[in-house]
Amino acid sequence: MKRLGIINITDPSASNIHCRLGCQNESGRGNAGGIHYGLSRFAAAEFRARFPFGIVKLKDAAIPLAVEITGWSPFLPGDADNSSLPVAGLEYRFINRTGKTIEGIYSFHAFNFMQIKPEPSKPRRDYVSRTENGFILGQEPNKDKPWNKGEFCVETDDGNVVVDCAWFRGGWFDPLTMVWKSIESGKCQEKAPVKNCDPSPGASIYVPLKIKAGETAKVILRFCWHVPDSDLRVGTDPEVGCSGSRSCGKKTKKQTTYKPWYASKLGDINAVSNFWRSNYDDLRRKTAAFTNCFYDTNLPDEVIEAVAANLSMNMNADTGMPGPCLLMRSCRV
Amino acid sequence: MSSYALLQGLTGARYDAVTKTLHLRPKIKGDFRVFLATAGGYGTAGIRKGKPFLEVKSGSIEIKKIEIQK
Repeated sequence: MKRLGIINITDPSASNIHCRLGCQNESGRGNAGGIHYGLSRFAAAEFRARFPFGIVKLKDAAIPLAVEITGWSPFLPGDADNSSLPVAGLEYRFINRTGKTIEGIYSFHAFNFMQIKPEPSKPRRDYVSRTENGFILGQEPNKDKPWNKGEFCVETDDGNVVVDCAWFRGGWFDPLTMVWKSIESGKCQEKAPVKNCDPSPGASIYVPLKIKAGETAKVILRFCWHVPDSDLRVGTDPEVGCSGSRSCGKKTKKQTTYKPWYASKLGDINAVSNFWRSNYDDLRRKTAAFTNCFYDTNLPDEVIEAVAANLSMNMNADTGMPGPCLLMRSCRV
Repeated sequence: MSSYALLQGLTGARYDAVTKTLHLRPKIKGDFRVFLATAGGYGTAGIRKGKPFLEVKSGSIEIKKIEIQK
C-alpha cells in the first residue's frame, strides 16, 4: 500500500464497515511490507474514461452508499502551462440512497513514497509535515544528490478534516497494521508531526461525514508535487552556456540535472499548493469544457478511445503527470 | 499533437491559419462531428445535413472559407 482511500461506515446495526476506495500498489517492486493485499475492498468496480477524467463507480452490498470517484488533472488545449502543472484532483461522492442518515468516516492514507532509502549510519532526511488542510510527504536532498529533494502534498477543503502526521514507527508490517486498527475502530485522531526521532512513515487524512437520506457528500482531495531537480536522462547531457544540447565551443560545464518547467514558475510545494487551491474550480471548469467538446462526436468509439489514449500518453511523457485516472506514479519526474 | 492525427485522417478536418480556411476531406459517409484544435481555440467541425460547419467552443478560430474535398 502506498496510497489508500477508505470509507468507514458507523452503522449501529452492522458495527463498523470499512471498504477501500482506490489505491495504487508498488507493483513490481516487491515491497511486500507495505502493500494492501488482503484488506477489504468493494465487490464491484466500473471505470469510465473521459479524458482527462477517470470515473470509478464502486458497489458493495455491505456499504449503504453509492460511491463515485473522479480523478483528473488539468488539460486545456492551447494552454501548455496549465496543462503541465504537477497536480491532480480526486473527488469522492458518497450518495445515500437509504431512508436514514448515515454517519461514517472517509480517510486517505499514504506512506511517504517520496522517501529515498536512507544511507546506513546517516541521518534520515525524509519527513511528514502538516499543512492547514492536509499533509506533505517530503524528502530533503543529500549534499551531492540535489535530485533527491521532493515533496508531495495532499489537502482537502473540508472544515472537519483531521490529520495524522505521526504513524506508528516500527518495522515490517507494523505501520500498516496500526493504521488499519485506527480505521477498523473508527478512530480519527489528530497527531502532530514527529520531532526528535525517526520521521513518520506516512500520514492520514480523516473526514467525518454525516449524510442525510437522499443526500450526497463530497470530499475533494487535491494532490500536488514539487521535485525541482531530476537526474533522469536520455542521451548526451546538455552543456550549460550553450543553447540546445550540442556543444557550441564555449567553455561550459555539463548540466547534471533536469529542472522541470513548473519549478521555475512555482518555487516550492507551498506555491504549487496555493496555486492549485486558488485555481482548482476554474481549471476544472475549463478542462470539463474541453472534455465535453472532445466527446461531442459521432465518430466510432474505437477512434475516440485511441485518440484519448494517445493524448493521455503524451501528457504522461511531457509533464510527468498522471493519465486520465487516479495514478501518480510519475511524481518524481 | 500526434494524437489528433487520427481525427484528421478520418475526416480531413484541418485548419489553415494563413488562409483562414477550414479543410474537410471525410473518408466516412454522411454527417459527422469531430473535435478540432487550433492555436487560437478549439471546437467542433463537421458536416450537418450535407453542409459544413464549425462551432467554436473556446478561444477564437477565424474562418473565411470552408473547403470540402471528396
